[in-house]
Amino acid sequence: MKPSPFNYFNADTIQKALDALSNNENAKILAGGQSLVPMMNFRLAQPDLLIDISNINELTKINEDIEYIEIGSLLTHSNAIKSTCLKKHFPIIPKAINNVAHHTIRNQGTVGGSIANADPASEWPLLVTLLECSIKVENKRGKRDILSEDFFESHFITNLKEDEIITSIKIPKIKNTHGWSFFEEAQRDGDFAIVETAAIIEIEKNNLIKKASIAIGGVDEKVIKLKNIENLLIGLDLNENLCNFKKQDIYDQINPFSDNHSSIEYKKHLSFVLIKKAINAAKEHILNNNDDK
Amino acid sequence: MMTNKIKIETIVNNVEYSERIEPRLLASDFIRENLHLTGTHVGCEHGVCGACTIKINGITSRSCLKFAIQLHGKTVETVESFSSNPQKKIILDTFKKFHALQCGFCTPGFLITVDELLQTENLENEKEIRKSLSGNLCRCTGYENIIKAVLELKKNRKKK
Repeated sequence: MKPSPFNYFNADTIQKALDALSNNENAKILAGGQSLVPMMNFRLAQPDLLIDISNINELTKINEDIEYIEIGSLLTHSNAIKSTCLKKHFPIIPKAINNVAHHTIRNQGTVGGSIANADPASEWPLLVTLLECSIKVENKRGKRDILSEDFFESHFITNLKEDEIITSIKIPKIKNTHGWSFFEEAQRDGDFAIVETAAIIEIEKNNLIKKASIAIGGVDEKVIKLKNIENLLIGLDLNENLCNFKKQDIYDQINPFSDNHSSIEYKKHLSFVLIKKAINAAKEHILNNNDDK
Repeated sequence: MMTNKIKIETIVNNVEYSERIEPRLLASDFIRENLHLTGTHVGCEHGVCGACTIKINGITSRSCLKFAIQLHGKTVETVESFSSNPQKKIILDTFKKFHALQCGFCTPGFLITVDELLQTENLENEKEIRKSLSGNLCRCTGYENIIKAVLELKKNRKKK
């Protein structure tokens, strides 16, 4: 349970980190290290060079713009939960992120690390997909923004190139009156989700649904948006039954695999139950006048 | 692959240390083997059990998920700092009062974590305490006495 030898570089600026990343083969970025270091201890990851970016303070900031909130990729889960800005604009973030692993892990683990790791059952990929964020990445030559739907490709696989680092995540503000919900089913507190779901419903003044965003994680190679259900909700009156769909409408969209904890059938059933619960809770949230916003 | 040893300087429990270490040395092993502070226990070595929890710059961290080289320029607290600090000594005494340990292997991690939780979290009820301590595993006590000790600590902090 000891990592294999590697060289270590403490990058104190983004530029130095990007230079080191493009000049070295088999280099890995170390941020919070809460997924990478266990893999190194198991020797599943054996980088020749570890580029430590955890001391680049400018990547821990949260900036507010008229159109969006931009969070630095090195923001820890704990600081995301504590942020008054995130709590004000996106209360779903602290609610969901409270389910990331355990207290001490949340102190060290980072937003960018979680997104780069792209575990389909973890919370940040769910939120980033749900909130239709864009992910800002940089390499030595320049920057680019990647939409969440293009960023995640498969289990632990993203659109990120070998010489790129995630520097921030832009979350577009929601202007319409809206309600939200988040549900996760895990065996114990802090475990990875068996299934996680979240919903945001936006309405117009006449109570008609203008937009719906529904995401589900843990049941496919990546977090997915249930576009068929989203489309079904658009135009409905909020007071109608919003769950007028069948089990099969959900089952057709997901592709879970069985593991030690649960069978495919169980995960499918759980998905159906949690999606209905999420939609109804988001609806209730609007009807209760966004009390806790 | 050979890597050179690199000099690091760090403050652990108010004592300055300067050591030459390999980059791959885990902080947990550095604290135990190089500094001979064996109160920090090594359990699972992949971040699950919580026995190796320490504070780095005042924030709890798994020492098995940090490299010693990352402690350069940082301030570290381990369980050895508890007996000489009145505030932390109360945590020790309360654990003792409620028999919140049996074999004691997990205890250093619990103490460090509880010290932080008392300062940063509300811990309104037993459920919240259980959730907050979910990252520390104890294989003897069944957690009941640990929870009782934390409830008492919380009650006494509120009184003040």
